[in-house]
Amino acid sequence: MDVLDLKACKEDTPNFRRQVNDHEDAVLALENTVKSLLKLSKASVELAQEYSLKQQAMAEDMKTIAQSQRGHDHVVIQSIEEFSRSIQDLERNREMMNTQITQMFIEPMETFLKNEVVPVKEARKQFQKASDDVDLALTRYMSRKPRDHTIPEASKDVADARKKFHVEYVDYCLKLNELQAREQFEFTEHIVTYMYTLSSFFHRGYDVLGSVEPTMSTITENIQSARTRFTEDKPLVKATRDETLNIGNEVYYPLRPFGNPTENLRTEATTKSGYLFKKGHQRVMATWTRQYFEIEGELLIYGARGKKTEDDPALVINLRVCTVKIIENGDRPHLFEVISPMRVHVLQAENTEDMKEWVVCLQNAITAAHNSEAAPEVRGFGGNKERNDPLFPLHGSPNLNGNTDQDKQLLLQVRKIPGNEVCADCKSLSPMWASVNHGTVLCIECSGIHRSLGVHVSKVRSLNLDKWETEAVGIMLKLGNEKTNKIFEARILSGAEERYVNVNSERADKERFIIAKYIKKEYIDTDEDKKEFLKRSVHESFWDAMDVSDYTEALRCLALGANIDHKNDDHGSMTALHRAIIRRDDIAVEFLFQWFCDINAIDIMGWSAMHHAIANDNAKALTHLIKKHAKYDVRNRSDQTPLDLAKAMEKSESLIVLQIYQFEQQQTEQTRPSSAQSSNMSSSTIYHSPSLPGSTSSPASFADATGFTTSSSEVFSMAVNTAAQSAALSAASAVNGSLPPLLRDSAASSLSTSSLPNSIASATLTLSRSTTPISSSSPLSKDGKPALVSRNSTGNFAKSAAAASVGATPGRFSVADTRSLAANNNPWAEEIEAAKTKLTKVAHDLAQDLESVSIKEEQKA
Amino acid sequence: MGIPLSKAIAKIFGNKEMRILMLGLDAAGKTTILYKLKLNQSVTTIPTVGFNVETVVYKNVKFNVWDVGGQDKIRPLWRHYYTGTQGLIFVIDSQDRDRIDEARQELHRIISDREMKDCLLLVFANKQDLPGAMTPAEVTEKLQLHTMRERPWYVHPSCATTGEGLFEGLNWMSQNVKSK
Repeated sequence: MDVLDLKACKEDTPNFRRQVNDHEDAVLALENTVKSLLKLSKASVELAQEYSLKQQAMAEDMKTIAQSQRGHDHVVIQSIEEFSRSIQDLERNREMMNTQITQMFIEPMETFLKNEVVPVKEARKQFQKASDDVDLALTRYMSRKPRDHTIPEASKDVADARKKFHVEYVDYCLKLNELQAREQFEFTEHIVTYMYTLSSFFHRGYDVLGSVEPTMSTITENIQSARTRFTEDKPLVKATRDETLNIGNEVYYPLRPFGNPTENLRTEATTKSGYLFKKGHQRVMATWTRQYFEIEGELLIYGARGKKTEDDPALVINLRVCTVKIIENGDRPHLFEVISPMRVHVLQAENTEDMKEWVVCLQNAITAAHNSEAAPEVRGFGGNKERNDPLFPLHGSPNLNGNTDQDKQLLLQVRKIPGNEVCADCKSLSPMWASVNHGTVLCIECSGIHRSLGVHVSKVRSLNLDKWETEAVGIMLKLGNEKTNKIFEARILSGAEERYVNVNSERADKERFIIAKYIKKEYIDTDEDKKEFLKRSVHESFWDAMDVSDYTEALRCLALGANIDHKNDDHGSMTALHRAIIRRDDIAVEFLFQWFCDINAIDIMGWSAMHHAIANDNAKALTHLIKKHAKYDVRNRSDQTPLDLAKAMEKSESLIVLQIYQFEQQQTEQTRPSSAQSSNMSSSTIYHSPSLPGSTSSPASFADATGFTTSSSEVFSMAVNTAAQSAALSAASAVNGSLPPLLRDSAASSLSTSSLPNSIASATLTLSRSTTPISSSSPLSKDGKPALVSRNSTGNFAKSAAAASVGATPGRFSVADTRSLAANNNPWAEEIEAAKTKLTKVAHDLAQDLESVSIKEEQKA
Repeated sequence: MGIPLSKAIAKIFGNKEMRILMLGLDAAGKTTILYKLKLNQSVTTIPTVGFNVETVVYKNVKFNVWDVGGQDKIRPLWRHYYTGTQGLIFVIDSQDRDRIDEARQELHRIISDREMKDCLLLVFANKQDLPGAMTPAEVTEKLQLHTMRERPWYVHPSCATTGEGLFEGLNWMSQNVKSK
C-alpha cells in the first residue's frame, strides 16, 4: 500500500479519499488480526501450562511405579527415575517459555494495540468530524443570499473549518502512514521474538532428552532380554502349572485310600504345621473349629485362618508341660489330644496318617524341648497370671544347682569315651542315659530296664536331664562302654557266647540279656582255674586296684565277687575307702560309695572313714560321709570320736562340719517318736499324720514342733524380735522349733565348699570346749511354758544355732532363702527376707562375742 | 449356677473325681505305679520325659492321675501341675538310701507351695520287694513327716510291680478327700 501523500490532503480528491479508506480498512484488519493473535496466544499459553502440569504429574507417577514395581532390577528403577527427572526438567523449561511468551509477546502486542492502533481510530473520528464541519460550513456559506451581510462571516467559518480540517487530515494521514510503517517492524519484531522463544525451548528440550538417550537405549536392551526371557519361560510356566496340578486325585481326598500309609511318615521331625479341627472346651455340645496349628520350637501355636496369633497367649501351648495321646474309640475319627496341666486340647486330623504324623512330631518336639539346653520359653504355660514368674526360679537345693560349664564339658567328653557312641547293651545309636556305677552309657529303653533292677545293681542317670556331680562324671570318664563290656561281656567278646540282642530286639529279650549280663553275670570270664586262683586274691586285687585308681580292674574284681570292704592287713586293716580318703581321691571315694561300701568300717586303730577324713583335712569326703549319715560316735582305740580327734588335731574346718552334724543328730532325735513307740510298730504298721483318727498320741516334744514352713519363719521372726534383748535366749527357743532343714543344708554345703572366716572357726572351737552334752532335756518344759534352763545348756544351744546360722553366710544363705521363697507366694516371704538380714547380723555379733570369750579363756589358760 | 452337668450327676450318684499329682525322684517307680493302677499289669517302662496322665476308677472315685518325670532338670516343671491338685502321691525308692535326703527336700519344697496347701499327701514307700528297702517307719522319719501337722499324710509300703499296697493308698485318698 502506498504511503499517503500529505499534500493531497489539500485537494481531498475522491481518489485520495479512497486511498485513505483503504488505509483505514488495513488498520481495522490489523486490529482484528492482533486481537485474534492475542486471544490465541493467551489460550495456548494457558493450555501449555495445563499440559505441563499433566506432564509433571505423569513424571511423578512414573517414579512411583518404578519404585513400587516388584521384580524390577536396580538399573531399571534408576533409569525410570532419570526419565522422570528429565520430563520434569523439560516442563520447567516449558514454564519458562510460557512466561517469556507472556512477557515478550502478549504484553508488547497489547501495548502495540493500545498505543498505536487505538489512537489512529480516535484520530479518524476527529478527522471525520472536521470533514463534516467543513462540509457544513461550506454548505452554509454557499447557501447565502448574494446580499447577505453575513457572507464574509460565513467565509471565515469556512476558512476556519477548512484550516482545522486540513490539520486533522494531515495529522490523520500522518498517523496512518506511521502505523503502516510501525507495523512493518514493530509487529513483526514481536512475532520473531515469539519464534525465538519457541526455538530456544525446543532446543533445550532436545538437549534434555538427548542426555537420557543412552539410558533409553540401555533400557531398550533390557526390555528386549526380559521379553525374550518371558517368551522362553512361558512353556516352563505352563509345565509348572501342569506339574502342580498333576499330583493325582488322591490328595483331594481327606481319607487316603491309596498308597502305603506309613511310607511317608516322618519319624524324626520336630516341626509340623497344618489345619486341624479343634474341639471347643464346652462340656456339652462342644463346637469344632478349624484352626491352623504350627509347632515352633517348644511351642504349639494355633489360630484361625488370617488372624494374628502370636500376641494371644491363650493360643500358645508350651510343649514342655504337654503330653500327646491318640484317642481310641472317640466320637469322631482321627482324634488325638494334647494334654497340658491346664487343658486338654482334643484335635482331629483329616486322616490316620496325618494324625500319626502329628503325634510323632509333637512327641519329638516335647522330647527336644526337654533335652534342649536353651532357656525355656516363658510363654504358653497358661494358668494364673500370678504364677507367670520365670520358669526356673533359683530354688534349687545346693546339689541341684545347674551343672557348671566345666561339668557340661566333661559330660560331652563322656560321649567321646571309646564304645560310648552306642548303647552298652543293645548298641543303638546316640545313647543319652548312663549307669553311673558301671560307667556306661545306655539308650533310654535299656536305661528303663536298668532302673527296674534296683539301685543296688545299676544307678541310672540322664546325661542331659540330670545334674551331675563332678566325681560321678569322673567315674564315667575313667570307665566307659568298652572297658566295662570287656568285663561284663568277656565271654561274648571271646566268642564263647553269642550276643542275641541288638537295636531291634524285643524288650523282653533285652531284659533277659541285661539280667544275664549284670545280675547273673553269665558273660564274665570265669575260667575255673583262674577263678580258684582269683578266689583267694580277688579281694586283695580289688584293694590294690583301687589303691592305684584302676577302676576297670576294680570293677572286674567287684563283678567277680570281691568284698568292697576288704581290710588289707598289710595296711593296718584299712578298707579301700580309708585309702581313697587318705589319698584324697574324690573319684575313688565316689566309686566306692556308688558300690555301697561300708562307710562305718574301722581299721586296726579303730579309725573310721570319718577319722581319716579329719586327719587328712579331706573336708569334701567328710561332708559326703555326713550326708550319708555315717556314724559320728565311733570311738577309736584312743577312745576318740571323730569330734575328739578333730579337737585334738585342731582341725577347725572339720570341727565345724562335725559340730553342725552332731547338733542335727540331736535335733532329729528330739523330733523322732520315742523309741518305745517305734519298736512297737511292725513293718506293716500304717504311718500317717497324727491328727487323723486312729493315730497314736504323739510325744510332747514332737507336738511342740511346728510345721516345716512355719518353723523356719518362726526361727527368723523370733530371732529378730528379741535380737536387742537376748539373742542367745531367743535362738535357744527358736532351736526348739527345730532348726529349719534348709538352714542346716545350706550350712553344711557352705562348709564343704568354702573355707570359713576365722571368727567362725574360733566360735566353734569355743563351742567344742563346752563340756555339757546337748542333753535330751528340752528348753521347753512338758507343759509347753518356757522354763529356765541351765546356763550351760542355753549357751550351748545358742552357740550351735549361731554356728549354724553364721555358717549360712550371705551368698550361701541366699540359696536357703530363695528356696523357701520358692514356695513362692509364701506369706512369710517378706518377713523372712527382712529377718534374714537381721539374723545374719545377730549371728555375726554372737560369733564375735564367742570369739572374745574364747580369747579370754585362752589367756586364762 | 454353673455346676457342669457331669459334676451334678456325680454329686447325685456319689461319684467323686480327684485330681492326683504323682511326683518323686527319677526311677522311684511313678510310671510303673500309674500303669499298674490303670491296666492292672506290670508294664515295662522307660524314663518319663514329660508326663503321663491316666484316669483310674476305684470304688466310685475317678482318679485323674498325673505322673510327671523326675529327672533333675525337669523337676522345676512340677509346679506347673500344682493347680487344682487334691492329692499328692510322692513315690520313694525305698532301696535308694543315698537319695532319701534329696527326696525329702523335694517333697518339702512341693508341699510348701501355696497351691498345694490343701492337698492330701500319700507317700508310697515303693520297691519293698528289693533287698535292703527302707521300712515305712524309716521313710517317715527320713522325710521328717512328723513335722507336718497341717495336712493329712499317709505313708504306705508298696511294690509297683506286684501292685501291693497301691489300692490301699488310693483308698486312703478317697476317704480323706474333702468333698467339694
